[in-house]
Amino acid sequence: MVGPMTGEPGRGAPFTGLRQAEYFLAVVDSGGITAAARRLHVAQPSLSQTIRAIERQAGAELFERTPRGVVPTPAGRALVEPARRLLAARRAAGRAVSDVASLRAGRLELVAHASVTADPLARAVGAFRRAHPGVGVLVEDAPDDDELVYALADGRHELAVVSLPLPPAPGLVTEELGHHDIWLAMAPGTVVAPGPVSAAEVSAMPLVAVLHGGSARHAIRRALADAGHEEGTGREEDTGDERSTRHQQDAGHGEDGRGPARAARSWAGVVTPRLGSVIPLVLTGAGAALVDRWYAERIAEQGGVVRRLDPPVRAPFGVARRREPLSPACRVFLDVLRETCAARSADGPGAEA
Amino acid sequence: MRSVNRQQLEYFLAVAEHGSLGHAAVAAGVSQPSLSQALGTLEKELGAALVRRVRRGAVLTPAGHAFVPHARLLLRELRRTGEVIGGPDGRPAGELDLVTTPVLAVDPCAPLLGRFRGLHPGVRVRVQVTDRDAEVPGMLADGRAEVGLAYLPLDADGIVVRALAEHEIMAVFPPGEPSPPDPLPVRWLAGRETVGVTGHSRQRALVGDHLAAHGVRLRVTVEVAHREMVVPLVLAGAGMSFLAGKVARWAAGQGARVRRLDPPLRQRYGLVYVPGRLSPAARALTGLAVAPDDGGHVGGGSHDG
Repeated sequence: MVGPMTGEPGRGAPFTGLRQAEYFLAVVDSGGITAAARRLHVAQPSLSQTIRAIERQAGAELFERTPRGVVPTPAGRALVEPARRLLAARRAAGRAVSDVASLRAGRLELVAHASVTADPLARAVGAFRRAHPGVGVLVEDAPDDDELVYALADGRHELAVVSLPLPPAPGLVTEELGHHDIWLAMAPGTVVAPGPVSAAEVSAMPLVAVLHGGSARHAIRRALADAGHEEGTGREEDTGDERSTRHQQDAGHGEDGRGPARAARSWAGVVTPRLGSVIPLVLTGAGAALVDRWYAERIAEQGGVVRRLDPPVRAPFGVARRREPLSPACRVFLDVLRETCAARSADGPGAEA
Repeated sequence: MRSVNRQQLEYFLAVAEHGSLGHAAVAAGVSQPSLSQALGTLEKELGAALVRRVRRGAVLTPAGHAFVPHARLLLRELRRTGEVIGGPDGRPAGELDLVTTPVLAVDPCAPLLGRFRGLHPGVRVRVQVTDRDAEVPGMLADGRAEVGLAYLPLDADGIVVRALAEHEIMAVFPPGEPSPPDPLPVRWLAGRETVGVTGHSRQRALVGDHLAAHGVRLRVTVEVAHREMVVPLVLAGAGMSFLAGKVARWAAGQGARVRRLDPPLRQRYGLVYVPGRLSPAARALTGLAVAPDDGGHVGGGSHDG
């Protein structure tokens, strides 16, 4: 609520700001203007002037001269406790702000594609939380890429952790931090030769594709296209809810006129809106899937069969943000994320032959 | 942070509330450059950016978010320093910000404020109303109100809860219908046509849960946004409804048939506030609320109009 702005406090409101409260208390505590001026490192005439201004604003005399020095009047005495409370509130406010700046408090807010959450984001967030336990973390799901880019430019998000590339946008910078190696994951008991699998072999299998947030959508499309895979095969099943159907119908944006849904539909037997559902879908034999190493490891742990691809398919990831400086929590987190990504090893899961 | 002044705080809160420097400047009645400059000075004093200029206006930085409740508190404390001297004969003066829900606003808040104003005419009281009891602690924490009145229990860390009394929620019927049983078995209400208020009031949830526990569902055939319409609708025969406390008694006085439920539905309400932050006026109000009152707060038994 904003009150009237006359530049003068209302009648009966002694202080225009915190400095006046501090000066008032200095006179009370020092027992005189001279001593107070020394304590505050200000000139005595200017302190006197301020006290007179405060008395005018208060509509009452706050100090009287006695042989012992300057002492508060009853009105002045009544003002002491509120003035002290005011300064205590000032100190608390200063602490609150500096706590956020020094990462003793506050919240880190990120937006991310599902594809990067298991790896590397989870590890980076863990490291950040251990280093700064006072800072909460919120990771929101990235909307489709055009919306995400808008939201970043708009200032609704400061930092996005994403699969790259994103659609270009003025004022945004992206920084690549690493890549996911894409593996082929198949149901337990699948009989397949040892060694990497070619794109042509992959395109002959019934596949499970992720509509939204999967690592590899661009990379996979390119790799399959390079292998000469044709569009329009496979049966479509809507494993998701209404949203996945709507998404399939709405997709169709993109520079080449092919949205992710239409592209996915062109080579996938099963399309699911959610990255997480890929694991059970593969394990129960709904199809094979092209996933990053983290998901391949989870699938292999539960008996799934995984293979590298030949040629290798890499899905880069990184961050996107506006050019201007980041807030303290985002800045520190970005460093943590860079360190986490630099330390990521490139080894694959054990189950390979 | 030595020279933060009232104007900077008010401008900052205006930007926080309006989401834009331009709208905040208009609301404050100053030019945007003036407001921008004051904001910049505040940020320098605090040593942190509070506001991020973005395409559509301005958003708060994390430091800005953290500062908002403190800015409100600082303004409140600044205002309070004026109350101390300005009050007639040493009694509390100034302003009191209260928050409550629509049901509790009528009873017990209104009678309580009546008594309070009689004793403390120098205090100006502002009552905010929120649809959801659960929001009351948040509004105290971020400084939008000093004292809250809500149905309990409340999820409230760091907030003092003073339980006051109970409302008994009564079923209310139009005059002229065959007299409903007294007390009214909950199952009797199965399929009844009721008048309800839109939204997520705690009272609505309480009634729904109480009835559902006995396998009873109501049909809301008239739903209105304005709580004030309920009693006139019931009196006009549009359907039955549920009322608590004094409101039920007033409806009875106007001819409605009011029945206690069986099993009865009672809900405790209380005062909530942040410890250590009460103004003299708020302390006076709290003292008055928890003191015994000869009128009594608990809804009485069944009435016929």
